[in-house]
Amino acid sequence: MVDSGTERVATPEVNGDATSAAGAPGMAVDEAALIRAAQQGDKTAFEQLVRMYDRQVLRLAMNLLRSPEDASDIYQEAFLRVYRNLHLFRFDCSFHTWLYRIVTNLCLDHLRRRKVRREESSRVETGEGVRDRMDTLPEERAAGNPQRQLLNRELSRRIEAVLADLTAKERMVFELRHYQGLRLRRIGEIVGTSEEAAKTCLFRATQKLRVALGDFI
Amino acid sequence: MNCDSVSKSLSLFLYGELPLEEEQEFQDHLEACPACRKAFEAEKAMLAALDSRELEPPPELLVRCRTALEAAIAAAPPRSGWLPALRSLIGGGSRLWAAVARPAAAVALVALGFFGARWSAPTPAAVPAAQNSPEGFVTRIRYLQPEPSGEVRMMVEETRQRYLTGSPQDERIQQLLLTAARESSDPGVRADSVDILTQRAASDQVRDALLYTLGNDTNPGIRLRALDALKPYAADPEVRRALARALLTDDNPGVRTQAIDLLVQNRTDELVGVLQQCLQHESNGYVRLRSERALKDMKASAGTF
Repeated sequence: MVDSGTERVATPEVNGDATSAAGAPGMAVDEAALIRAAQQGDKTAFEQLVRMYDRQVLRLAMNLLRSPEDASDIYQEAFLRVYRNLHLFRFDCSFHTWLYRIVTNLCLDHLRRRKVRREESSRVETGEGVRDRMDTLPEERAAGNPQRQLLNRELSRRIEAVLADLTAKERMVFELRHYQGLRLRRIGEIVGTSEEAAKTCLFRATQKLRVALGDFI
Repeated sequence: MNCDSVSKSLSLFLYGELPLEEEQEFQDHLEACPACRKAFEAEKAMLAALDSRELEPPPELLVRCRTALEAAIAAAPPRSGWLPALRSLIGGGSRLWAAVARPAAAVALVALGFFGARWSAPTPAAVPAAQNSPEGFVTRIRYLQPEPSGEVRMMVEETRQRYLTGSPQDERIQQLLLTAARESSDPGVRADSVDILTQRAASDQVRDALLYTLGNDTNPGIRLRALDALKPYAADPEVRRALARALLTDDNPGVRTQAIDLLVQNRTDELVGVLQQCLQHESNGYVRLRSERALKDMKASAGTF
């Protein structure tokens, strides 16, 4: 018997009712009613809408850009665009897809600019200040074993290098599938491509990762 | 399927993106071909290794982002179509919208001739819809109605703010900490409350609050703190039930991993069932690996038959 990788649950899912990330987990919220109220200028509705999704948006930006400052900029710009353009939202796709189109476009632009500048950063903010992600891996994975620590460090270095080397679209599709748990069909809707094209991007990304990490795992 | 097509489908299979009809062929081939099975295991290990780089934004960062967004929206010009909502904005109960409402409210009040009649503020435009008085009262206008006489009728909400200092052992302080851990909308306050309550986890009441946080807090960083606080009580049946729930339902792989770590400290028969159940649904490679290893250590089968 072979274990298949099943989709990780990324809330809120698009076709179902939105699940509030801000309120008690599992509490159903009528998202469409919230959006309509926010379009009419309802203050609480807009804030609720932001808080339903903003953790996910920040997590996506943080994982893609590996920089708290850049992730904050994306967060800010994305929700300001939502604020300015919410009256144009016509429910012809889910709000999640619409929001993620805004966020992924901003992140893709950022990744493309960064690729040109070649200033990939893997620094992360921790309670003890800014450190490299490699140093924040759980100690237990290599506890008391300097050789294992060294290997983990090298593995992390290689992972960062190969991810930085993916095209911006491959990087985005991989992030949305592997870390955000979205289906390829949905990813296609978000990044404006077909499911097949998203599948090709994912295939290329994992192939590059395999080549770079294969002998190391 | 042959070796070539299986090799090209490895990641798609693991992500559950292979069409149903191909899935069966894939599995049939894998069972018959040791070389492809080896490649499959390597692919699984690679994807699991990638899980370790996932970052969870620190709660403080989210708070900073929200605050900055409030300020940016307050500074943004009002959108067309939103002006009719001005009155409802003035009554704002939320921080985000209170920030938007302040300048708008000030302008509206000038237009109503409010200050000449009721309020002796030196600069009308500087008077916010909510203001702090020296006594620690926060005043917020909840409702505003111009009267035919030219006067204004309003509902004013006042909240008193004050500082309290005391030991966490103090019953009153502890009650406030318990409330903050459960109900504060600020994740920083919830996190700090949980940290302080950790020292008092011997108390049933505190342990209940930590269990509530583990099961309900929306922030995985805070749920992890609650797990840390519960470590010394990993043998307690109620704590173990909460750990099993976290392992099976929490959406954060870090929390699920930590839950396994605590559960395996006491290897009971029930744990076997929980781990087997976990393996049926778990998609995170690292958590699966930990569950499989724990079952192996307990000489139990990974599958349920």
